[in-house]
Amino acid sequence: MPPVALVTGSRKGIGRRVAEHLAARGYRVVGCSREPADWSAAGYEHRIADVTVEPEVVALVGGIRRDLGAPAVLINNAGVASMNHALLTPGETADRVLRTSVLGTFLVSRECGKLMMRERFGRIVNFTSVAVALALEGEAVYVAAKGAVEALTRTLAREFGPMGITVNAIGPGPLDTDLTRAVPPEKIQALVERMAVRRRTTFEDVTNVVDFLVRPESSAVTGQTIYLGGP
Amino acid sequence: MNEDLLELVAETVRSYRVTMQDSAAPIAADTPLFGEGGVLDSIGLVSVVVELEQKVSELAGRDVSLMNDRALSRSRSPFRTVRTLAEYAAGEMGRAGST
Repeated sequence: MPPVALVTGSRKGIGRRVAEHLAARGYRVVGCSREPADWSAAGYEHRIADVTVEPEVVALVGGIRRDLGAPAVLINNAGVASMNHALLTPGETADRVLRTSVLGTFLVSRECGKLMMRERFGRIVNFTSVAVALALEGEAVYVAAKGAVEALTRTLAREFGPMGITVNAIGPGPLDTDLTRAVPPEKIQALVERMAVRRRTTFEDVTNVVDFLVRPESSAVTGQTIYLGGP
Repeated sequence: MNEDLLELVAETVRSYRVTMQDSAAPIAADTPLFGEGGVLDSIGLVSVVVELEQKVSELAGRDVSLMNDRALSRSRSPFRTVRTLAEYAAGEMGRAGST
């Protein structure tokens, strides 16, 4: 049986590319988002779930267990951003950004962790951003949410470590996604200028690190945040 | 108290201890699970509760949650003994049916 991978927020952007990549590498991939996906691939199936709604997460992961077995890999990619000055950001937006990244990552990790624990094997990869390392202005709530994801990554790594489950985070620089398309090009360029590697992050940069983190040989790599492009 | 559920909890604890190659001390209804004189460490308790959650969900035919904010409290935890855990599981199974 091929190993099972769950990728949250796989309808588009990084989630889609990572899901396609894992499916091409022979994983049985389940992706999820709040809305149906308009793409398909061999070895990939899409399910509808909102990672911030606890019963939906329980039903999603329970369904995967019944249909396919315990996931070996979880990619906590679902996230929303709000590029805005703090003084102009509505509380409702802040709540949505925080809930998707922090609560969503927590809930899906908890449910998958229960199944991975029984298998004594699991690879959890969370998503943060170089915006945290750079304390990027204009993204206060997003940076706070991703900072919390990094803290969650370190602590879950300790809680899950004895169970054979590693938990790490990838922090890409700006990619070409919906999330960055809303930002003026000169802002992206200014961000790139502050990074050690002065170019945009590519999807291949991301999947390269995903491959490294999920392989069985990486059992001693946990609690780490890997920034792409360097801070 | 449902005797089957009591035995299910005891069996889950026994099976975890066998897996961990712990001592084969008998597990009875009033065996302390966690804390003073407990037969499980914190990882053991988490493992047993998660395993039990799975088993009672299968019995109930729906997702039953055994998560609890007082899990690691020495005085108020529903996971103090085999019996309190079985009672807690029974309560949660009943509650899942009513919601």
